[in-house]
Amino acid sequence: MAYNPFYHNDRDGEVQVFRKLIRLETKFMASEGYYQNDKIASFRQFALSYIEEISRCEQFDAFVPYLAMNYFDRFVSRHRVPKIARSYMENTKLFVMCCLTISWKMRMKSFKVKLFQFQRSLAFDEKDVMRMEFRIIKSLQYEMRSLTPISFSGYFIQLISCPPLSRCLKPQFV
Amino acid sequence: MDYLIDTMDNKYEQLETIGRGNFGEVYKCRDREKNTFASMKRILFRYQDDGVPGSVIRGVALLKELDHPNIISLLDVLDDEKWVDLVFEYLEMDLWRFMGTYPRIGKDPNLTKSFLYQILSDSYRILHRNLKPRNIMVDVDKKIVKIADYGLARPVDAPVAFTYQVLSPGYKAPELLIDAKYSTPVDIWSVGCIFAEMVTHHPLFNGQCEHTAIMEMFSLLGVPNVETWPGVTSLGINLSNPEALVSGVRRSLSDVVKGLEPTGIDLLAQMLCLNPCRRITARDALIHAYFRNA
Repeated sequence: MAYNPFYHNDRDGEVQVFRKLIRLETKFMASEGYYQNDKIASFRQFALSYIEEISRCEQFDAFVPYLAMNYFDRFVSRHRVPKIARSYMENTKLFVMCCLTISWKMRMKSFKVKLFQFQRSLAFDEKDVMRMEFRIIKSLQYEMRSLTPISFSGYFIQLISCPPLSRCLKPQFV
Repeated sequence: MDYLIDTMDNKYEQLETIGRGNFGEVYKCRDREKNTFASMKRILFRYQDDGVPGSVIRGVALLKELDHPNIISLLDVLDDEKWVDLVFEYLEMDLWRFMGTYPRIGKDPNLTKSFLYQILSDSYRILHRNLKPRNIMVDVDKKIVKIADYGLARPVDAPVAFTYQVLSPGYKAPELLIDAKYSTPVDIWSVGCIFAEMVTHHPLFNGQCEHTAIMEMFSLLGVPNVETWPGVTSLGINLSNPEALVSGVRRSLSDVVKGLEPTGIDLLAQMLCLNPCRRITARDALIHAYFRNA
């Protein structure tokens, strides 16, 4: 089953479910003070633009880069970037790209890193990709079904008596 | 088999192979430190050039979210660059073997009630599609049942082409058999079949193919019509001659599921409602009168 961020509020937006979401959310947030750290801010800025650059495609799924940034923030706020590729720049890009390939795999069953790299003329070593992805996933303790503000949206949309979510905003699930 | 030893971190001692599928193998192993048993499912990566397989990332992430006393829990994930090992809590007995091994204890009405309650209390959380006695593990000492049927947690892998044809239709809801749209009610149906089987120790439906399974259902529960199941005519069953869709002598649920108290029969009938929209939900089933004196 591909990860669907709306999955969490399938059940009639009950208050009980909502409370549970709030309780669980902290697990999927960057550590405190992360967004106030200037050194990290420029790294984050780099990651953001690199992800924006390499995530562009037809039938763009905005949740893919969004989820990738969630992984990036959670990882960077608690761990050092693992040294896997030789040069510093190459390693940094590999790390950021792997945040994206993992989130893409979460959203799309047929995603292939090899084709993705080929399309964008990227040439990271396949073993390095495997190692980097594993390091990220393990550090995030395999908790890749992130709870993000989007998970809460279904609850609020009900409150403002909007047409059903399925009609006003058709998310694409692959 | 030498390679097993170093990748298992020496944390687990491999004992014997307990399952095999196209994903890899399942071993029974012993946690050296805690001196407890665990089952370890090794998933071999088919491709080396695609990073960590998406199915593994999604599957483990899903298992991480499930934390329930009636679900077999994921204890550990060990990885190599060519495979991952998923370590699960180990229970030797499944419900099918339990009923065969302990015919008398297994028929205790209070135990049946308790097991049913436990299965239901978990089952509205996720869609299984494949609940059956072999996928429900039993902790005999603690009288606890645990479902072992979550994607990667499945002890034996589903065939690559996951279609109803290749699986025994005995526990499959009618809407699955006729290939209609389905959702969580399919699990309630399966739990209903398991409920009946816990009472009688015989499968409720034996159907060897979808057709005979459908006939068995209709013979026991009546042929649906547009009133009991609006939209049923568009599902591809020819209902113009209802008599052709039933076989044998008409029997009622209480004839077939002998020994079950009347409130139990009522709950069972609601779980085996042919129309999935009118089938009882897990939430309502848990507050049914059958459980009142539990």
